[in-house]
Amino acid sequence: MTCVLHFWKYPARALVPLLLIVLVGGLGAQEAAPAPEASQDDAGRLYNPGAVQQRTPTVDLDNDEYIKELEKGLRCTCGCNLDIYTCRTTDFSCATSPALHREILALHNDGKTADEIREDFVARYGTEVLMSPKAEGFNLAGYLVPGSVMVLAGLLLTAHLLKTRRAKIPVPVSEEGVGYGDSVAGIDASPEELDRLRQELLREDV
Amino acid sequence: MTLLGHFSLWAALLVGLWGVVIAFSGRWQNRPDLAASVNRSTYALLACLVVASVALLVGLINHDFNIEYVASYTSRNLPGYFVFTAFWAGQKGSLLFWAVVLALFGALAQFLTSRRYADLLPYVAGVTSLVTVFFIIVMLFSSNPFERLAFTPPDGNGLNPQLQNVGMIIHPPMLYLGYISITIPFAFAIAALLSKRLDTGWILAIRKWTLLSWLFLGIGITLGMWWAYVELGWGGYWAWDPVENASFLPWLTMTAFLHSVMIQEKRGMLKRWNLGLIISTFLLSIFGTFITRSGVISSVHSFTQSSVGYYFLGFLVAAAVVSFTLLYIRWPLLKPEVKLESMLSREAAFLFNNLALVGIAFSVLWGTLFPILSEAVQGTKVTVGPPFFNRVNIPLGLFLLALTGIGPLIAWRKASASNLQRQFRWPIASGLVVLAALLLFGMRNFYSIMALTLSGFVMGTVVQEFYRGARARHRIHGESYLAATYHLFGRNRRRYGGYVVHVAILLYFVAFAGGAFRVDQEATLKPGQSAEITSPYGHTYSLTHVGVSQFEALNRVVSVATLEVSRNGKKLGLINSEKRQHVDSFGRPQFQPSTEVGIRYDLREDLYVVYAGSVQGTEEAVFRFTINPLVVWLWIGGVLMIIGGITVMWPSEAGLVRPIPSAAAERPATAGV
Repeated sequence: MTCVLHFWKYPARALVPLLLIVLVGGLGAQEAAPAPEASQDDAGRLYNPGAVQQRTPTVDLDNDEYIKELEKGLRCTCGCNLDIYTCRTTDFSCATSPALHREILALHNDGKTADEIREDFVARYGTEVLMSPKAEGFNLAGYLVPGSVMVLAGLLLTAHLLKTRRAKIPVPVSEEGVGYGDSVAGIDASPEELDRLRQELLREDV
Repeated sequence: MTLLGHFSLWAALLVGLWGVVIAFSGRWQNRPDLAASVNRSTYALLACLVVASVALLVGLINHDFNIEYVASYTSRNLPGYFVFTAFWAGQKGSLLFWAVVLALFGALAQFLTSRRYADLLPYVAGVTSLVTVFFIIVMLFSSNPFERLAFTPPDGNGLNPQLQNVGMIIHPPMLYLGYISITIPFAFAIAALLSKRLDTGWILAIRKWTLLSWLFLGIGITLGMWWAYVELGWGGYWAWDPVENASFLPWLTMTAFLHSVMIQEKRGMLKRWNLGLIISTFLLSIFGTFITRSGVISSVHSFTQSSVGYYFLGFLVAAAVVSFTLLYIRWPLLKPEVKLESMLSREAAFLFNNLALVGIAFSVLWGTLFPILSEAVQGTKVTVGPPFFNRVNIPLGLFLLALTGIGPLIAWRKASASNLQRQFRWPIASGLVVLAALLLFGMRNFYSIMALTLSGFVMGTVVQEFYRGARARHRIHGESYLAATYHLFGRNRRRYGGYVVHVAILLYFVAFAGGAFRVDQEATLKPGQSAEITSPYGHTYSLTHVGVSQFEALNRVVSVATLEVSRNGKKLGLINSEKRQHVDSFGRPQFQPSTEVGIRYDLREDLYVVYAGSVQGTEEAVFRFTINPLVVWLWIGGVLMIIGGITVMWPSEAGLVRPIPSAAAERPATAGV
């Protein structure tokens, strides 16, 4: 009672035992709290499970080359522009591609062939789901135009070169009245060509 | 600071417009004071944009989240260097970055170009200022980096974790530098067309710029591949995404130009073609920007869809119409000085090289645009992905690789049969040795065999060229072969630097060939469990899961999965792969957890480990293991490309010691010449 009256009379002195209580209690609490450096508990759980994606364990069909090839030909519908296999194994942040993968596994387990699975996907998601368009109708232009243009350009270039190399080149005349093609000291070359030759010889001087 | 930024952009617009109007009005032609004013306007434009850029950087560094751009791409706990790189992480900031770098290049073009091209420079200033003004208009009227929010949020949204990678500090600026620097050769081409000075002079004036642009684009593309490989976690580096394609297109046409311009310099041919290539390269760089920023083609890289795309489309169409009209008007003045003498000549080889490069560019462009075309014609959208591009481009790429080896072996003007026999003997032999070795070791993939065989042929060509040059110096000057090889670079950096670039390109093909033998496998492992994966070379890796540890670092919670690796029973060490959950400054999670892959590099193959996730929040982890044969040669090739490119650009000893006067370079073009 005397003690209570003492602190009533001198309130500032009450702070000392209060601080001691807080300090001791705090230390005790700190000891009781889990050590911050511990990354997981004894049962193998992660300290912060939310910091990693949660995944289902791998099944054999995840590694099946047939399924992988099939998925590489089908586009993920999440908008990433990647095929299902690449998307579901890239950064593992997409929720759509694992779902599509499970759809493919389900169809495969139902006994459907690769073509049937592709048709099923086209029926559900449209032709966009194929990573490359079917070679039919207007799509043929997609495949044939680049090669055709290249072949045509190659033929035209060859024809042009064969034609022009045989043609006699008209010799232009300079302002001084000397033809550029006039021979200099018996050399069949224009002054311009000789100039270039001189530069090349200087450059190629090994 | 936003006020200063706004003011600087408006000032830049006015200064830029002044330069454009005076340059294209032609009034400077008899007024040296106006010509000097056009020149000075490029420096003033640069100064205005530097002030605007500093204003944005100050806003970023001070975390002024009242600026919408700062709030969208940074947060208080974002590491300092990523705060800096946020300058170009978003659409608005990257537009300002583009404008300021273009203004810098425009000013440098005025400052560094020889006075002998003084009559071209006002037009050059006009073009660079016009393109810069376009970017300023886009910023001021559609995508302003200094736009303010109605309130000030306590923290920003932070930077996308995938952009928080060292590759993203360098990769985007390199690509931007490549795209932007293309404007300078384009400006010289337009200046040459406007001034009718269509000799080889303008070509010589832009030589360094074209190389610089090509090199920046090449480095940017390779860094992009590297970033995709180490950051995205899919084990690949190229996906034929529209935005990747968009960066590849100008690189292809620029590469074609770097070859064909040699024919113009040496033989006075292909003037029209070279102008067409430069104009096309510039238009493709704007096209790439349009694709990235319009959202018209879906891409994993695209910025948010916005009205900016329409601005770029309008500018692209206007630039194409004006440029090609000008080319058409000047067509008669661009007749070749000489004509091809033989199909068996280096000129012809270069023409086919150009055909292959432009053909690949066309097929990539066609594939990129085909979804839009298909929708317009048949009303249905289609996807054009890697299967299409690989089918079309692999044969073209191999043709190009063959020409890389053939071109240097054929003489200019006309090659004789004996010359061909002498030149091709050893390179063909080296290609055949590689072919025999591959078949002996059981390789059966046709395209990979072709790529590696042709790489052997190209390597044979390069080695033969170096050997013959060094041998000649050894005989003439008595130098050792090592010293002689060193001096070869000094005497003709363009030629021998070019060969180094050819080696870099063949290394790229070696890496591409290795891609056919990639092996990957997923596995779920508890601590202590192991998985095995067999390499295409026949050995087996065993990977034992050690455990997962978690800790906090900088602005993220890091979960590290550790595996012990052994090859055929021999321990090789530990490999780590991480998951990073980024948090804001209040500790709240931001974005999805991102992946940091673990890679064990080897000259033969990379062992690539990805920690995909955890099973029910435990240490039981899902992994993906990939063996990527020969990938490291891609990065070695990238380094060689830089070395080769810098070698070509470096002033030659011969040029420094003894400048070569050229009558041809100085002579103005006249019709019929």
